[in-house]
Amino acid sequence: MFLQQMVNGIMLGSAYSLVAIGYTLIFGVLNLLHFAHGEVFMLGAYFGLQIVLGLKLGLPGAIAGAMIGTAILGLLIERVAFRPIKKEHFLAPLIATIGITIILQEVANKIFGSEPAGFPQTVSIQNFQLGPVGINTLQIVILGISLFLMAALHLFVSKTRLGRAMRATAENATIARLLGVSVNRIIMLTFVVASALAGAAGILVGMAYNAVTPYMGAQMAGKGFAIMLLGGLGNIKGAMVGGLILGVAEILSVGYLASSYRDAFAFGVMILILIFRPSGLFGSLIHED
Amino acid sequence: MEVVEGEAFTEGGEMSSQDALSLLELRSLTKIFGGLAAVNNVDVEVEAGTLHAIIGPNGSGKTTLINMVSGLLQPTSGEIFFRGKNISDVRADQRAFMGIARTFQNIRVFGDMSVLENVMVARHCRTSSGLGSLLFKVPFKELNEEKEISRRAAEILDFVGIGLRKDAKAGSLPYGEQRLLEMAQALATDPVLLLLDEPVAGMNPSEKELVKSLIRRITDTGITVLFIEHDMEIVMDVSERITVFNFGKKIAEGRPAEIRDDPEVIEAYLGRD
Amino acid sequence: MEGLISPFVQTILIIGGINSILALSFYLPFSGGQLSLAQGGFMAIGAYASAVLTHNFGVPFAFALVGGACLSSLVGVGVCFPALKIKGIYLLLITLGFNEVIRVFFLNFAYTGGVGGFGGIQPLTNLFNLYLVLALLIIFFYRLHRSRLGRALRAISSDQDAAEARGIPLTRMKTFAFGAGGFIAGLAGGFYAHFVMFITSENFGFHRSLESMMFVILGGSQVLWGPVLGAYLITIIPESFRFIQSFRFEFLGICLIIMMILRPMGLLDAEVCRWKWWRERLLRKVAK
Repeated sequence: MFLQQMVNGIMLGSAYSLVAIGYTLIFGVLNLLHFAHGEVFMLGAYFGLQIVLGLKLGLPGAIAGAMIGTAILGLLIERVAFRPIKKEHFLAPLIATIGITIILQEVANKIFGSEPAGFPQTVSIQNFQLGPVGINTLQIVILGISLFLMAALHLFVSKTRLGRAMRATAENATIARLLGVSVNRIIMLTFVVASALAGAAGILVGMAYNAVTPYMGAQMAGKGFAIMLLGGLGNIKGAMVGGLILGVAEILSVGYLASSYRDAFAFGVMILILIFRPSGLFGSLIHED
Repeated sequence: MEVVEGEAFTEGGEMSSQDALSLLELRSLTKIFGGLAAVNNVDVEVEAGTLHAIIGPNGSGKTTLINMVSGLLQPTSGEIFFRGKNISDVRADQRAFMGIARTFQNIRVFGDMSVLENVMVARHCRTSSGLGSLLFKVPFKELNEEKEISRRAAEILDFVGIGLRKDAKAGSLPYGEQRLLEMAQALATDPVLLLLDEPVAGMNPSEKELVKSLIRRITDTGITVLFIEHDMEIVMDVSERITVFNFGKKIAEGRPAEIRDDPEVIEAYLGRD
Repeated sequence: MEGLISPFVQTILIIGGINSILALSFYLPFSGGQLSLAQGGFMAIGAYASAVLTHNFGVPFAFALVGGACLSSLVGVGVCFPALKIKGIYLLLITLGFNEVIRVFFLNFAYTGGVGGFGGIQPLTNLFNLYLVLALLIIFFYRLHRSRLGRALRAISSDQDAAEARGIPLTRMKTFAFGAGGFIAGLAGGFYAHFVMFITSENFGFHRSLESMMFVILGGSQVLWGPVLGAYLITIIPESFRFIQSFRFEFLGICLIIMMILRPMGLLDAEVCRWKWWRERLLRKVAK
């Protein structure tokens, strides 16, 4: 039973990691807490849903479509709510993202309604038994896609020129600029990558819980922040591992505690981390500017 | 009433007998950033009452050193002794209370507050009215202290030379006057040791003269001054002792005349000037 | 006095007053450079605690209010202290967590009604006691601004590291601002509970904290009249323009963004508040 929970948790957690990577990337490169990232995740789920229902495309199409859709959304957010704001007022960009959160949530509510929408079956469910643990194809798909995307991101950040430019900007934007990095482009790229990952995660989580609501973004935001803190602010590896940990912890807590505590669980984790190890498991990025 | 916290440090000062003369002592002080040693195993002693300069090429670790002494940065290893007491773990605001004040290379005054308020706020650690006098009409204590803070701040502004600007918004002051304001702020904490990070950077010759005479007047009041500078004329003119840095290490130390003739220093630095 | 004002206007005045107090509770830590999204949680503690005191123990309103506010403040500082010690956005994050934890706590706390809420609270809030407290708060903020503590807070807000270098104890000041903010929000909660007479944990969720922030950000985050103006504007405008009602949130979200782009300090700032500034503008226009 415990092992089963672990497996379920890892599967869920891997999708969480995708979102958390987005939060931590944006914090790392832009020193911004992107409040509206949860809403990007939520809209990714809805985009995927519409693609499956409306365009009758299968899962790969839905995921690709959703990722493109959220990537564009990310670009829009950067253009409209991040770039025009003067950075001297330290909290102004953050507050603007709160504005975006409100707008996106309400718009989604108006367009799609607040009732949870089920995710239609796009994958034929087959059950496998690996020893004491049972998994089905849906879980394998979710885990597989998440791991694939995480691996792709890791390669991108560590091996490509753009990825290195991103890391340089995260450490010190002024010096990166001196080294010839177009910081504005990198900022756009960061938003695009983070949003695309969140879009994919939206579909995956929507499928996992078979429920898509306009408020899943707000729920995810809390978890995203908790994972960021757990793994260390700005730390991508930390976000990956932290997501898995939170996923497992969440599943276990539902199993052993009442489910009405589930939402507050992530926040409880946050508070505990801040008490015992504020820099996170793997260390936070210190911005020198 | 809020009580000003003095971490076992009294005005009389606790000094061990053998360190009676050296006010500040840095022992094996090291700061490593991402694999590079910005300050590398440095030993420095600053004697009380002196005007001590730190010079060296750009990037030689001087500002990092000052940041560690003032408490802005934590050393990677090594220790800092102030008046015989190890202050390596003491917070920056407590160090101000103990008598260490500083200015910043890139001028950090509180732009939205008035010039007078900037200096008044620096009197925080020497005053004590708190929540009690805010809430309850204890007019005498708070009013008297406010008057005193205000008076003393104006006095310091006059000493520094910008007394007439006291009601202006700090951010609206020209560069040179903002530097003077910062020095006024530092003096307002009643320091024993004043750390100046490039006090005349970006100033024209007449402004530099003003600052030079101000520094002399400050030492006349008994305050020890440790300053970083690139302007060799000023350094040679006012300092009693010079420490030379290069690549995070101390390469020479002594009186201005000795430093001027030191071949290593000339090679590392003076030659390029 | 009450007979002269229509019930509708009375309600607006009371809600506006409560919102003003809530706004001021956000303003205090904010003026010390801290963003606290826990005001909803503070309000909840104040609301429930004061309601329990008047309803279950017959404690007089004034004492219940203060008692609830004190509890609010203590719990808030106790839980969030780890973040107060560290510089950066940690306080913001922990206040989010705190808010949620409080909400879920009251959702499950049987003694105060749990999911079913707490009802039968006596309607002890009236224009007199509410505005008396609001007036006292305004006097407090006015005095704070001119005081040693107020200057220290403004310095921290302007440049934390420089403030520390000038001898200002960061943690102590931040704890003061945060705790006092929690106290004030607790007062707002007490007034709220004894006005609506029935409360559930849903009244105090993230949206409530968000509201407290919006009052200040939109109304003016640099002067004490900003939060008050923001509170009244946001209370009154949706009531006046019915068509905005259903787009209320989108409208507020757009306002936030536009405000951050054009005027991040909010509607009122230090200049606008000084009548001399207006006089100078008038003179300049006349001179042309």
